[in-house]
Amino acid sequence: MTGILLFLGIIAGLVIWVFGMYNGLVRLRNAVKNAWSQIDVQLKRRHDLIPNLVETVKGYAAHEKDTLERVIAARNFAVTASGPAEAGKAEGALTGALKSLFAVAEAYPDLKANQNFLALQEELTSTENRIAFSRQAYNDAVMQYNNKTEMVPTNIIAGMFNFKPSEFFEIEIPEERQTPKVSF
Amino acid sequence: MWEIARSNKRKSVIFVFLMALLLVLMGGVFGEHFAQSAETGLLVAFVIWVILSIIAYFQGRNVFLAVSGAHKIRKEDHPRLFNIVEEMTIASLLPAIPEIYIIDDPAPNAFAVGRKPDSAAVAVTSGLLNTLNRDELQGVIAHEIGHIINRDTLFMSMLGVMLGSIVILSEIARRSLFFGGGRRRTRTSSSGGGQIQVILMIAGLVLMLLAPILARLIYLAASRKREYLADASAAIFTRLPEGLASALEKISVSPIRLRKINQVTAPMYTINPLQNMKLAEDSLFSTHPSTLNRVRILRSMAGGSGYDAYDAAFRAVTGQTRAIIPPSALKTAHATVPSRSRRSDPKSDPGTDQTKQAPSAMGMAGAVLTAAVLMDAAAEPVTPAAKVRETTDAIWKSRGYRFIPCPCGAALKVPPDYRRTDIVCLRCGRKHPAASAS
Amino acid sequence: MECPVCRESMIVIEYDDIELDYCVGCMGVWFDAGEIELMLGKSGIPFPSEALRFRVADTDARELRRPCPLCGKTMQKVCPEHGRVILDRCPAGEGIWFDAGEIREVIKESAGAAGDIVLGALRRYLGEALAEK
Ligand SMILES: [Zn+2]
Ligand SMILES: [Zn+2]
Ligand SMILES: [Zn+2]
Repeated sequence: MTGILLFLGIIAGLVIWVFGMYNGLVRLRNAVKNAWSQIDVQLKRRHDLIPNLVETVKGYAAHEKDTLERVIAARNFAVTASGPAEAGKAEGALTGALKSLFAVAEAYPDLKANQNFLALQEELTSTENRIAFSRQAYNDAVMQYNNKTEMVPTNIIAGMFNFKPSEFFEIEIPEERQTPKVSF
Repeated sequence: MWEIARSNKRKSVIFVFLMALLLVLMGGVFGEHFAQSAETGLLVAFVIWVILSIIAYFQGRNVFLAVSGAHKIRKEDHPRLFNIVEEMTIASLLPAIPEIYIIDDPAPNAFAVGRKPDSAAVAVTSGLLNTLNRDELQGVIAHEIGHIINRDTLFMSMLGVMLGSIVILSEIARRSLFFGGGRRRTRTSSSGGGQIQVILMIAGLVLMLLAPILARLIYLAASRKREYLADASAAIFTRLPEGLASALEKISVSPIRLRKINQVTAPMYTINPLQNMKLAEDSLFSTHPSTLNRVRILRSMAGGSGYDAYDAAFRAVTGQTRAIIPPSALKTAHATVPSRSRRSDPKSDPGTDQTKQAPSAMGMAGAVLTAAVLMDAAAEPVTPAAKVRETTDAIWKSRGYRFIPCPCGAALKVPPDYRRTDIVCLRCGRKHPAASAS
Repeated sequence: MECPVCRESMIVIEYDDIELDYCVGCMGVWFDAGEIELMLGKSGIPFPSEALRFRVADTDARELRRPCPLCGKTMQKVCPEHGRVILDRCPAGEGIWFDAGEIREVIKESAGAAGDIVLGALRRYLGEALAEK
């Protein structure tokens, strides 16, 4: 009798333990999702700002066509990117393109004094900062979650219920193209 | 982010208790002196203390904002300030964006108020906006949010209110002792224990005179460390210790003094506005640590922006052997935080960040902000005059003024209580419908 | 701020970093302390400093007393050192009030022969407010 009770007790304890691990994994995965949605909001904001920026620059520096087109292409590519890893690459390319755009803007004092341009630049700067600051929280969440999915014994539960590791979000800026230095 | 708040909590209770004890004791002496009854005095002081605490607890935020003449602003009033506060809200994981207030005062300074992190407010002076660049402003905002995160704001306003009352009580006592202290002697001689009475009376006198000094010492002990800790938090949030360092330097050398300032509100500011020798070494009675030390520590943070780096820099600069950062915080993910390079720093190469040499807390390679170094030219007004214009406009807007740009080049600013249907431009005589203001 | 004459809210006009308050009802203009000097400096006019000094007018009784829009105290009646136009000044010296057309009169009176040059230079800031009534 006591043997059966003990056995049942152990089974019950085991089940509760498995439930606990499972719930823990769900919580961590939700934390990752939540952190990613924070970044996603900022990425969308960034993509929405760029057409405006391109229009404003066009008004002053229409013949910088190459640079403008590169920004638009990079932006359109970034919009279609899915998942943190892909987004990281696409955003990096976009950052590179924006960088050359702002380098070009240096040569147009009227553009640099334009209120709309200044406002857009401020919004873009702030968006970049927000992405940078929320990226840390996201990657920390991913690290915690991934560690759990790989470590014994949670990895067994993770394998059984298909908890896949999440991707980190790293912005890789491609090697800078030599933009001509403008001097006055 | 809350590790410092937790470690601060226990000490806070002790400091509040000590301050309250002082206040109630003063009440006792007062009662003895004026009503021949120490008990009445004790009771009255206790009631006053309870009322003050309730006010500070529930209304402290609004009282401080009102006393300092702060006006709330919206995003369109000053977008850059708003963005910076939002960025720091994200970086600090604060649950809600604090309300933002501007104080029309040429002296650069800032403070934070709020009982809870989700209902806090940050106030900056127009002088601060005029003086600082984006990175520096970010540093100051991060410092203020550091106070909110570390739960300093409620505690310091409660202590501040008590300190203020003790100073005022002592002032009253000092005057009355010199001008009308003769009443009580009759009773002393008629009662049996005359000698004890005399000793008690002298003790009371001494207490009255020493109380403000004691209260300030308590306040100092409570607040000094918190300033350092808020600086450490700011470094973590911004990952750019130089931003705050440079801001503190600019604020401390500003010759302009705050207009609406008093004993109670003074300790709440980033830099104590009542401090005489602004860059002097830590003095015994300053509520804030010496600004020079704070700048030096921030600039000595060689190994990054985390607690570890701050702690090491603190010990190196002050020569103290005890850690300033609570041990519990040194074990968290914020112990080691890599720095980012400054946008406008010509020495830093934006292409090759400091990514490589600074591994993050979790041992992740490349966990360094790269995006924040994108804009070489920060989008902010370049000339001092343009910056002042921006700040002034933010103040007009925060007071409900609407702006009408006149084709002649002038800007018309219409007060919220303007009654006429149209506005004639002083400069060109054009008529504008008052409703067209934005 | 309230117009000291009509008691209605005044408009703030800003041009080239100079801000003035004026009343649409009476077209009077309020200059904060230092703003006249700032405006003259920006216009590049070397205005004799004694022309900017005011003395207390002896004819207070003639005009109504008006409250200072900044501090609310009754303003002093003053006139330029070498002129006769009567203006209202804050007793604490925080600013000065010009009724419509008075700016022109003061310049004409104080600048003498250079009056037209000064008027021309200040038109950049004050435009129609300098027109002859
Ligand atoms: Zn106009
Ligand atoms: Zn009027
Ligand atoms: Zn006045």
